[in-house]
Amino acid sequence: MGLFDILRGQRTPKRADLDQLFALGSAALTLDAGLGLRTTGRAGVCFKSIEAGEFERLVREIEELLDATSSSSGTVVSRHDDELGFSWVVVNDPDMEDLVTTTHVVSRSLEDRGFSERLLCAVFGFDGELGQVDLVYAYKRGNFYPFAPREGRRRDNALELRLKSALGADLPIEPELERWYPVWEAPVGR
Amino acid sequence: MAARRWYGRDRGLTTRMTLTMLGLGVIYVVFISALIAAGVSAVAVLVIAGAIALVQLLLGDKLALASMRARVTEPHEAPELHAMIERLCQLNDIPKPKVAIADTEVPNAFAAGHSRKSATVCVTTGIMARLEPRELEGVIAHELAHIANRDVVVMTVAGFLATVAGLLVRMGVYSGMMGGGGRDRRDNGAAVFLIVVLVSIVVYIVSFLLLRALSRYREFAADRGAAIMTGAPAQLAAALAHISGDMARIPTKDLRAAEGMNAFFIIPAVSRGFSLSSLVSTHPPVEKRIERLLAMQAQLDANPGATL
Repeated sequence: MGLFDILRGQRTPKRADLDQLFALGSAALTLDAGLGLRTTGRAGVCFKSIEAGEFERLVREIEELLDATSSSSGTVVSRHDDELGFSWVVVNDPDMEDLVTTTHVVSRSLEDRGFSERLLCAVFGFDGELGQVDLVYAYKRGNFYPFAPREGRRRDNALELRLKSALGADLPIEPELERWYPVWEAPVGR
Repeated sequence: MAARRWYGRDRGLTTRMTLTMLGLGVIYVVFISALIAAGVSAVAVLVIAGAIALVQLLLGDKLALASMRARVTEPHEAPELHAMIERLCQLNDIPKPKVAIADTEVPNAFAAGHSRKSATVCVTTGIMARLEPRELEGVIAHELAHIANRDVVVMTVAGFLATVAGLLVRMGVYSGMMGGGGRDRRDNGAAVFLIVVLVSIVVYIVSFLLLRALSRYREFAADRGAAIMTGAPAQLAAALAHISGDMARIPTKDLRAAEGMNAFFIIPAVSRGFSLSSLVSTHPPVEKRIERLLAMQAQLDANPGATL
């Protein structure tokens, strides 16, 4: 944010670098090999709610896109509204690569419709012996952070920090810990 | 940035308050002029003015919170509020501010703090009780937009610059008067002093009005920021309508509790436009803000991905 933006009291919107999502492929392999964490087969794109009719159209359009590119066959997208007033496009696919590709498509179509300011994050579910861990991609920051939700709105910070060091080579990890915002009850568990 | 004080919706009183404030400003101008006339260097005066601005920046939020008797809360004390704020911060790409709650019936909210890192958002129990969650979200998005736009710093720096400008004018007039003429200076002293004071007062009044105009503009900018973030300007408009409607019905006793905080508030504790107050108020009239928000909503309804 430059001085000019400050004086105008406005910000020039940043467009997210969506291609960083593709780094998740190697990150998933690292998680599997190092910590025994595997994808839950679900990911979600979370954004500030848009009007219901518009949302319907968006999801239908994405489904058509998926059908057209038969590469990600077996991918199912669904919609979900949470109680905080945010909407989710939930992607179901057991294959990590398809999951990432579809999430990329969903993010891109939201951006193309002019919703880039309202994109919050993309969440990828993982689980294993160590419990559930989500990898969150923050669009506005252009980087990832781990989130390990536990019973009673607590989080397993120790595990999150382990993930940070494990994934440092694969993913751009958010350096400021205070930006590791929780995303409770993300619809990406098994 | 002197804080305004309102005691109710009494027009005569408003006029008196405004004149009082201007009067206080005039006294301050005379004081500075006297300092310079007495031979105190301009540099010293500048340092004092700078120090005042700095204290305002560093302690402003603490003073604001203390005067509202607001308490900084932890996430487990108000989980929904914190969750809402966290998501809005992520959307705004700002660090999460401290979240304070003031236990008062006055429905209001404000942001304080001199930087994004040390900001505090404060809401009153009154506003949480009165607004629907989505409306409250609009209000909080407005306050976070203030933080993202660094409005506290902008206004403080603007105030300091106004002081400096006034000082420079005073110095210019003073040295111009003293330098020319070649008459006996002692006879001239009083006349010079009077002219310097008059010029200073004019400069002060102009900068006072400009600062207020700037503040009103920042309010519109924050409304727009909130609309972009939430994509629901109508919710903030509804919230403003609720609060301003409620404001008028609240007994004066509670309004007094909110004295002096108006410059920070989302709605000053009085919201009726009259000619004088519209010149000197820190906030645009609520009707105008609602009108603009609804125009944005119409844009979004026509095209959900519109850039506001």
